[in-house]
Amino acid sequence: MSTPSNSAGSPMQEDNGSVQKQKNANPTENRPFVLKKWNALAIWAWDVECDTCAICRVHLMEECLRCQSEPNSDCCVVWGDCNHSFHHCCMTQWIRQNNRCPLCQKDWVVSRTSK
Amino acid sequence: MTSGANQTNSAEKSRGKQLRKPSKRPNNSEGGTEAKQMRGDNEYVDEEMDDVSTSHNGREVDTNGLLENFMNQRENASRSAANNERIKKKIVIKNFKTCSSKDTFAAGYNDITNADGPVGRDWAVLSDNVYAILEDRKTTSTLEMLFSKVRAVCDKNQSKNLYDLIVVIINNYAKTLRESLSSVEEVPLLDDNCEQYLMKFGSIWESYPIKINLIRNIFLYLDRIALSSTDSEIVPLWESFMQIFQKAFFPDVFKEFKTIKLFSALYMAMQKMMGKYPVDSPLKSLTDMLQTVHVGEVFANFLLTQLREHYNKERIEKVPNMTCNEYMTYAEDQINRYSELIRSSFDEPLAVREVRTTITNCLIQQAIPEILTHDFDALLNSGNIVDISRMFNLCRQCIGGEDEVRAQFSKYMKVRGEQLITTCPDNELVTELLAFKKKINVIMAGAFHTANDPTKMRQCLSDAFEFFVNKNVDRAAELISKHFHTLLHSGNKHVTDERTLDQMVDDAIVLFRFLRGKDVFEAYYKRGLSKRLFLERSASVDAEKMVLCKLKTECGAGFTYKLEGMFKDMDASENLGQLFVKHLAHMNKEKVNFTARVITPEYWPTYETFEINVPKEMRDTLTDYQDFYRLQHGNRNVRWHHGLASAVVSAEFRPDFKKELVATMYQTAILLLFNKCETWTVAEMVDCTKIPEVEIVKNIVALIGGRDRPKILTMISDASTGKKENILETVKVSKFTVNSNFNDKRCRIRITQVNIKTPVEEKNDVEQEVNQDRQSHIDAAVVRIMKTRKAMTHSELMTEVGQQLKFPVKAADIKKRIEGLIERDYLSRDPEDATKYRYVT
Repeated sequence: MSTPSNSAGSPMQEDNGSVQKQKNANPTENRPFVLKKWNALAIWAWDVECDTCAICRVHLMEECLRCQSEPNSDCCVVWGDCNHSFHHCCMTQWIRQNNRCPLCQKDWVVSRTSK
Repeated sequence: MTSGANQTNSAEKSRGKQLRKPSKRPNNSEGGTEAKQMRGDNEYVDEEMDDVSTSHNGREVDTNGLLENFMNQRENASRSAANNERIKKKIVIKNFKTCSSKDTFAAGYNDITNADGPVGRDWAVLSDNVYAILEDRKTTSTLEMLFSKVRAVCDKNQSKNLYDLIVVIINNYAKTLRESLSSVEEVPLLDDNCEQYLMKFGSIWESYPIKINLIRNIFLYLDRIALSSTDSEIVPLWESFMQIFQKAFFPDVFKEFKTIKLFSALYMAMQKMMGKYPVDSPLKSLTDMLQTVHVGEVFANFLLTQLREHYNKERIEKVPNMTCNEYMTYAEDQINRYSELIRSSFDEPLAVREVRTTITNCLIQQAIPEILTHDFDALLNSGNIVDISRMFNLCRQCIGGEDEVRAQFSKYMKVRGEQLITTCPDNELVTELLAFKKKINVIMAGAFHTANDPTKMRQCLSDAFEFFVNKNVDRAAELISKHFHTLLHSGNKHVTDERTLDQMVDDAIVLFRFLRGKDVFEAYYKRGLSKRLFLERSASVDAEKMVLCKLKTECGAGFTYKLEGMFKDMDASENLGQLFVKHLAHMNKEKVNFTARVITPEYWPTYETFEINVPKEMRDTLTDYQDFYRLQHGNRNVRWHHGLASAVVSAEFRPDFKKELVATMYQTAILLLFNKCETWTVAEMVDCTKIPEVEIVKNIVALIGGRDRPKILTMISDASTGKKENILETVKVSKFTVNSNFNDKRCRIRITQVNIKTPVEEKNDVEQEVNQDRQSHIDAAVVRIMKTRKAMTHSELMTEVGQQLKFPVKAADIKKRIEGLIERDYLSRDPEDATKYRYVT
């Protein structure tokens, strides 16, 4: 499983050596700015190693092409035990011929889907 | 004809009376007396009058015939034995025919021309009275007596002769009338004497029908009974008298009507009346006369010819020198006044219509293509509905007139629209277009609503608008979409109530409807909507939903799918926010004043993002939320977009001087730095926050403020750096500190947003986005088509795809996408036929 990509998780580099002066004045005195409230914005994405479906080469955030061409289709993403992910419908077609993950050739076992 | 008909009616009545009387009071014994009286002196006639009129008609004929035969017997002793026998026989059966035998025997004694005979004497009395009527003298006998004499004459089989004699008298009379006119007839007709001529003519005519009617009443019996039974070729008296008048006054009317002076005089008088001179002529009575004597039609032809000539001349003279509106005003006035004139003098709807058609034809039909090019635009620009309706209604009546107006109208709209598109600056264009549309709507509803073909009219309007709105599709799409943004933005001060907003949205939707690049519109709309949602600057959710609903009805659910998705994301984020608060409580963590929005990338515009060092005040909260989100959606990761985050910061510029600042995330990060140290340089800020230098500089500029903008920070100018030309360059090398002299009356201060894209950048973004979308639309369309058809030739596929796509697309692009699809194993080339594709399942 991939680590969540974010900036807040990584340690803050305030005391970076390149900044020579010690700016850490006493925090209790003279703090002109106080954060009252705030809102953040995030974009979600499937928790995948590769964000494109290796079978149809369409972004996993979008529906696969066959589903795009049909109204009211319900395209979802499927993860295997190998942690590779594809469009569910692309994979369904794929395993009819070959029950292996197209990326790592391990036997395909569904671990979870986006449903 | 009307006066003729009246005469007939009155004649019918009097006749009915005559016939009814005898049946009530039959008096057979009078028969003999009557015959004697007929032959007797005139002086007794008056006394006998009543008896005569009351005697039984049928009986009278019989008796007279009997007497006649006896008389004939006495006078013509030389008649044959056969005749004798027949007469005897007739006496026995009391029923015989006199007519056939009369001519043979009665010549002489009973002849009307024989002044000594009884018939001749009757005629003398009759003719005397006829002359009296004609010469305006007092008649010597009563009508009833004269009537009985007529009957007597007719009964003696002299009706034909009687008829001829009257006709001769009237004929002569008409000739004298005609001669009385000759004094004025010779004078050449001029504008100022036509009235005199008409007066004269009028006075001649005036008494004619009255006299004629009197005379006819006398000879009613002849007219109605005697003649109807004998000769069908003889026209009734009234008719005959009218023909006499016609022959006398209009001898060559059917051959050459142009030379008839009366016609010219009438026309001249009409022209004078059209010229608004008061004309004192018996126009009505003269036109009646023309109808009565059966030359009305000829006159109508004459009049139409004259009108044609006149108005053709007028047209040739006026069209080159008049504007469309002036000319139409003139034409309408002429047509209406002439019709009114004709209506009042002819009293015949058909004539009015014909004159109307003729003038319209001459003035409008013939002028149509040309006159519509004379300041037609000015007429429409004026927006004067009365003028425009007049023009349209006149042209509409002509063949092809409406088409011509429509063509000009379309041209006008296209020219005017293009002019707007090219001259209007971005911020005014949509308003101008809407105003123009409104104006056109008023014209459509007020003037063109009478169109014979309203569908074509509407089509013409939408074609024209589509033409110029799409002159520069991308710009129009951008500006119309931005117009929606302005309408829905909370800063919209123009809209106070829901109904006005509704109306304005409807107007804007109309423009949108003409737009071809709807996907470009959508891309811009998405950007506007995202700004409104992120910054909470939307006027109202209801208004937003209303617009979406309207767009949906216009373009279908596919069009608004992503826009609706944006709202769904917002709602979902709201719910998650509530759950997050509970989650924090559950984890025994401090409650924070924080909200997060998690959006689905495919719905929203693409944003670029940077990894930054989040201020430590915020760090924990973000991590908490991330963990929380993972609990909610196991398969999803969130990626923060700090460029779009915002915060409210309380700022204490000096002791007891606090303000609230509304700032972006980047600005907040910069401001929070000042908690650690009083002065900072840009380089230090970049180093600490990891925000790119460009962004830092932009935000510093915003924080420094300007003349009208809050000055949060001050620049500590370094003498050694000197003044750089560019403010950005100066910022890069300066130090900054909090402005302790900050002063502003407001409690809450919004700092200028600088990380919002410039229009040019936005345009490029949109272009890219739209392009990408179009490519996947092509892919989807190809797959969709191939899925149903399984196999197709290249050209078939190309046309089908072209039909399905709603945006302009180059064949080369489709080809490229097909290649891509073959590569990705959606399609394959047919191994046998290189032009064919197959769908791969």
